[in-house]
Amino acid sequence: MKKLTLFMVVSLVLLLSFNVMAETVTVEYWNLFGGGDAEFMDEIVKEFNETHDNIEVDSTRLEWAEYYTKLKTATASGNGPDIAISHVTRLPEMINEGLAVPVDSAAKEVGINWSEFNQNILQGTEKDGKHYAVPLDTHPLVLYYNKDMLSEAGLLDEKGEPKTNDYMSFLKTLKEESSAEYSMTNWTKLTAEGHYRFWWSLYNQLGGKPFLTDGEITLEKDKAVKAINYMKEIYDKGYAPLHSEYMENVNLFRNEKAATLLTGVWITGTLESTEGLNFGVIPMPTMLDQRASWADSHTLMLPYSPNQDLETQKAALTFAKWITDNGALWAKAGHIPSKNTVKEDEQFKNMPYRMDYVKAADYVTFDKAGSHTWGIRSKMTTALSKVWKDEITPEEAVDMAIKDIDRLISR
Amino acid sequence: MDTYRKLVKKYNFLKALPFILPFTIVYLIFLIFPIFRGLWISLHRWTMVRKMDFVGLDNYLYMIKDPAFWESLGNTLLFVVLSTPAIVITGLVFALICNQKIKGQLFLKISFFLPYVLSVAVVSSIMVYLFQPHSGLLNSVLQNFGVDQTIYWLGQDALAWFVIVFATLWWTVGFNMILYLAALQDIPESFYEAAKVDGATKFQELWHITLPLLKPITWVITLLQIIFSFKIFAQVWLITGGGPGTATRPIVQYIYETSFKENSLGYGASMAFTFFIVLVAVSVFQIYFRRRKEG
Repeated sequence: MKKLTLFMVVSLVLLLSFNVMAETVTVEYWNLFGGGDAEFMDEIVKEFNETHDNIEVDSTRLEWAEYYTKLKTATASGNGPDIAISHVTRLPEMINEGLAVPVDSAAKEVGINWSEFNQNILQGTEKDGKHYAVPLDTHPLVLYYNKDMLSEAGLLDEKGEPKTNDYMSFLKTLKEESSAEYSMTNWTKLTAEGHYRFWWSLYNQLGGKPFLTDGEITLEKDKAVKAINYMKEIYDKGYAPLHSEYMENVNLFRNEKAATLLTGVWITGTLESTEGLNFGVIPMPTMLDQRASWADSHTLMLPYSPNQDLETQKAALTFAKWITDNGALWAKAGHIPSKNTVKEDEQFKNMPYRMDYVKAADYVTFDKAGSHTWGIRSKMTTALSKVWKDEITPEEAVDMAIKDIDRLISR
Repeated sequence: MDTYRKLVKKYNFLKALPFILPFTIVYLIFLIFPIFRGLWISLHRWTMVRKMDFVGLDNYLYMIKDPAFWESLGNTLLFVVLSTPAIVITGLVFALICNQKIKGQLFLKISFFLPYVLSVAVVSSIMVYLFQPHSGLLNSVLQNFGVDQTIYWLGQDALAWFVIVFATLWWTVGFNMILYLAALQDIPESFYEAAKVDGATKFQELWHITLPLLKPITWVITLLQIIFSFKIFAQVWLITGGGPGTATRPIVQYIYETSFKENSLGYGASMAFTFFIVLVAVSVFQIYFRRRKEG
């Protein structure tokens, strides 16, 4: 009799505890953030877990360089995470390979309102009318400027904002009338993407068509060449230095050798912590015909899994909804939050600098070219670098890039 | 009696088996199998996710017509030709210096060898810091001495090669030096004493005793250096990224970019397998050449 009672008590306890455990859903979350970004993301995950009893987000941080290889192989073998970060420019690749699943049905259950998002950013995550990811942020190129040097050259208007109407003469005046060695600096190491991003912005300011449309190359040669010539003028006249490494060019601005810095919003934190630097920031100025700038964007996608579980999907999207609702937290890292509603958030409005460039999100053009995006970037970068070395003309460079891209997509 | 001997042999082999088996299994799975699997992959088109498409020798034909492949192979060869004599001879010179009974001999040995202990990421960061055009240490020092022009160490082809060879030399010369030092210790003192009796100068001692006796180790060091240099990747990737443009991109980097950035693993595998054959041929040729010389 005693043994039977003991058995029943133990199994009852086990059953009850099992029931309690079944209430908490674990969400496996992979991301590729490093440095300052990583710390902010960890804080966000921690706060979500503390405020949500029945969901436990387990985040794994992977190295940026190997992230996509690992994500793709894990997902393809059925061992992928429940939710993962993906740059919007790599999302088409994931969708084409069947690694990303549509999120519409689960999103509806969780109450995600697509109209709250910045529509420009949201467009990048849609295909054939379906949503494949929840946009988290966008990080475009912006122009940081040294307030002291600009006022020296008389280039600040009554509101204290830079007069960038005719950008080339803006640079000329800066060089001649201020104590700066360089009017502007941007990341110009020849093998790296920095100068490609500047070129892509200029090309879109001319209204250029995308690299690829439906598998055909639709790069407009004359606009591409015009963009290159614009950049060449800046480098030839010494307004900005060539060959600068990534941190070097940031430090040129921090050491007040360069009056302006054209780089991504993610550097705001670093600049804020520089003592004695009196700086401001504006979205990338219109240097050619219309407003546009290069950007990429982080999104949260649901990787394919052989046993799709609606409960886990809902939990994952609850997490996605919460992060985007509380976009001000992520904005601490400098990124522009994806939801328009965050702009009303007091916390966000009180952050210095962020309000100055938040409207840049409306003008970003993603260089999406299906699965070949990052390959095309490097082909264009190589072609551009030959122009800066005076080895070929801009026309030859565009021809070379088109030829290389053609070989890439037909392989 | 014959059957008995056969049984003993078999028994001895069976006794040795448990000792050989662990290594052999690991060796087969992680070294031998991937070589054949790589060959198999090179006959397909594969983007890692979908099923592989068999395409026969298409990848190899594409490779022969690919200018980027030949350029990166040429870059690798250039690096081998530049770095091998430099690092082997410098290793020898350092070993000769460290073999002298002078004050500070131990300090010299340690300082020449120490960089070898560092990881490639650390070495590359140091070199970038040294050679950055606008805020690098070297250019700052030069500017202090009145050199006005900014030298673009990493932005011009020839200079970029110089930086890579210099970085590799500084990093790995210690290894060659150690091998040479060991060989120098093996030369009997009596040889030098006999030479002194005959009135030989230091230079004659070096030329007629030391160097000839170092021939065998020099062959080994040169072969090792050639193979290491062929496989170069990490320091180029971290210092110049294969640039400016693709001017310093070695073959291993091109294989990596093709396979993991452009998702063409089949094509990458075909280049990798070809490279493997090239390395095997280089080694075989060297060993054969050496046998002939000594035979």
